[in-house]
Amino acid sequence: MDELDKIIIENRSDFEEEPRDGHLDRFAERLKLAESKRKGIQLTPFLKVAAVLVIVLLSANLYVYLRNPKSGVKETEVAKSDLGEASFYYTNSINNGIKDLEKMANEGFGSQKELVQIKHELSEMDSLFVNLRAEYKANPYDERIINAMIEYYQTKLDIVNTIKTDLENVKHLKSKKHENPEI
Amino acid sequence: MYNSSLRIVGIPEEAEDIMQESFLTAFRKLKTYSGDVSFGAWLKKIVINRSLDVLRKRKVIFEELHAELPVVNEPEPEVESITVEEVKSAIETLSDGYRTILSLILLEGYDHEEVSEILGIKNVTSRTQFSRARQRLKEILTENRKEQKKEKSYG
Repeated sequence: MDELDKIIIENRSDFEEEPRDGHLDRFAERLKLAESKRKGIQLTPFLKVAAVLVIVLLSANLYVYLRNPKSGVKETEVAKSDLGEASFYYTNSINNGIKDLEKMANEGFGSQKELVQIKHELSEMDSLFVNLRAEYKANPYDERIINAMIEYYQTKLDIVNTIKTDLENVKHLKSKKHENPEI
Repeated sequence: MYNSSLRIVGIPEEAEDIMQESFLTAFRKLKTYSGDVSFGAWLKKIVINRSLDVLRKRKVIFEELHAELPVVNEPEPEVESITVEEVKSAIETLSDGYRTILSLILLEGYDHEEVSEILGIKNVTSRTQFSRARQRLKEILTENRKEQKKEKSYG
């Protein structure tokens, strides 16, 4: 290998630069914009059942993983910052979704009691995530943990979106009924 | 991811834009992620492809024009005494094409087979372009050293 190649390869980390200040805020703005574009898309009620199944599978996967944390560990090149960005995206989307649910509950679509119940169930999921995060700290390059963390976020977001879609459907039906009252 | 893009497009604002767009694309296409490669490698490929699209818009052509490398009589720089900062700034002054191929191989860790696939060129072209890029980098380093010496002697 050429000496110059060696210098570059051995000092890869010194060739890294941080993005400009405020890039996360700019990203958050972009996410909001992307989310608002997505809002028009409707999901089927079938997804609600699918989401529950995913939770069960995710929990089972996590259980199996926690029982055998060392088996088949494969190093991955996923940088911590990548997972950080993914978690930033999902956390933002989930929080926005929950805010929308709160707004709908305030408008009378879905009760406050149901909202509390939903939040409680979501926080139960968070306790699974706490375990995952502890595992990730201990094994930051274990691909399975990273994938499980991403799956967790996806599932949580799917659930929030499914509930939101259901409430939106109710809202839509109510407004339709209101527009065409029976004679 | 930001650095992977920056090293290809060379402009911080553009690199940031590409990184953000790539993340959005990745999240939208998350269901197409098959798990054959690591999530990071999959994401990085999206970032690199988007960055290369930007270069293509700039009409950067990766195909070689001459099969043989020109013979250069310039003395090689004393590599041992070269600092990372010097190499970094020399890489920044390389042409888009040379900077890209050098970064893909030395900094991103791809081999020539992978680079030829990413850039849509032949394996041999990847090797030749890489040698040219490295040669050009050495020339720039030598030129910069000469300039520094001149400045010192005047000072």
